[in-house]
Amino acid sequence: MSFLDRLFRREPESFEDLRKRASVVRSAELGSPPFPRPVSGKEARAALERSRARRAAANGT
Amino acid sequence: MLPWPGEVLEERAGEIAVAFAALLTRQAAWRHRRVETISVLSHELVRRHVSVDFTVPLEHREEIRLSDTEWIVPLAFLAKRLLVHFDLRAEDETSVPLLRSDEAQQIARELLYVMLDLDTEQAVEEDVGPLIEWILAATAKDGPDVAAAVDELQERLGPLPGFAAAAEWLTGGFLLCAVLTDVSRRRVLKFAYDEPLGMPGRSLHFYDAPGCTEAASYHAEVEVPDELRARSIELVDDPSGAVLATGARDADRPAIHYSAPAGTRLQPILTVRYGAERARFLIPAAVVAWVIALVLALPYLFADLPALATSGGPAITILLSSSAVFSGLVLRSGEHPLVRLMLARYRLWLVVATIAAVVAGAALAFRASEGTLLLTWGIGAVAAVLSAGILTIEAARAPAAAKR
Repeated sequence: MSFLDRLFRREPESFEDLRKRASVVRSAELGSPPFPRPVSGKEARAALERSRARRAAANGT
Repeated sequence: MLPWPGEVLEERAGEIAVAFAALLTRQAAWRHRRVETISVLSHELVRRHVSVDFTVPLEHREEIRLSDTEWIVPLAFLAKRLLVHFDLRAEDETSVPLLRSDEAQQIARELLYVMLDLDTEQAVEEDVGPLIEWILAATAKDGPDVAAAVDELQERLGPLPGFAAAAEWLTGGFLLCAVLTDVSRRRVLKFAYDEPLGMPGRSLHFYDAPGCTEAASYHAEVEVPDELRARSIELVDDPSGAVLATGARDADRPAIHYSAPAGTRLQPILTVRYGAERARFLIPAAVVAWVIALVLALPYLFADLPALATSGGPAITILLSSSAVFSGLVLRSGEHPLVRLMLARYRLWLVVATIAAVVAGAALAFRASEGTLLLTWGIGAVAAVLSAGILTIEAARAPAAAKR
């Protein structure tokens, strides 16, 4: 039976079987990072200002 | 003294990062549609064309402004590796400038600080400064070490989900940022690059589709080489195997459409199974193989082969040799490399039938002994019938008329 399967190239049925047959063509793009939540511009601006203040303090300026 | 271009970006990087933090955490909210077209260039190479249709939200246009006439827009996130044959164009096919990777790093640095501060206000610059510089300079192979350092930071400061996500992202990749002269309207930008195929199956290819969740609507098309059809196309979540979308069967330009639900975490891949068209090669090959099979099997069953060797040997030999000419008509050159690869095993069966005919003809021409004649013709007939049968079954299974 397996000889006939090979002879006529009967396709494996499960996705796992299919995945074993070929590698994925990896895109030059990466998927989105799993950010936990959307960030608003207001939150981001406040975070930037806090961060800049901390960095300025650490650098003694 | 007016600032030079590099100095302008340095000054504006923080403002741009503020907008990027909002835009990159809600990509589907401002990217309307993403269309990917995969062209199979050979059995080793595909070219991916991506078009991104977007509108920069009004509230972030000022933040992403670099100068009076330039705005920075994050288009995609690319792996830190050599891009081959990369091209970025606007709607009218004019070239669009890109930030260099070191320029994009200035924005990425500020983005990392923003994401860290959103997670915690307890970070100490002496600790995180070197880590952020390491992340920006890292390559993909540094990923585990960087991840361990980020984990260590999380042990000290508590969970940093936004920073950890951005850090993982920026360790292996960089932001593809377009420099546009107009963001006051809806825009469509197109970029393209080549990708090596790695180790594809003979007829089954898997194409990564990470951009599937980065726009409100995702379309993917595959440009199938001439003489081939896409027997099936599916968008599948790789870890779970769940089918997300299915396209038309036996199409020469199969397409998929998918809209990911908000917040979905997927690792989508396009699964494409190719098949050779029935009429182009398989039917002619099956016909030639059957002719050879009949020419060998009928005399073997009903004729006196040793007598034919003395009376009609030369004529029969010419007849059998002509089958090699017919086979040659089917064995063409100048095909698409993927077509050649897919037809290779069918061609092998046709070659088997042709060799059987030539050997049988040679046995007659050289007046081989009776035993050799019977053995040669018997084996040849069986081989030719087997070849013809396989080619017929494959032709019956192969895709037929064009469908879209």
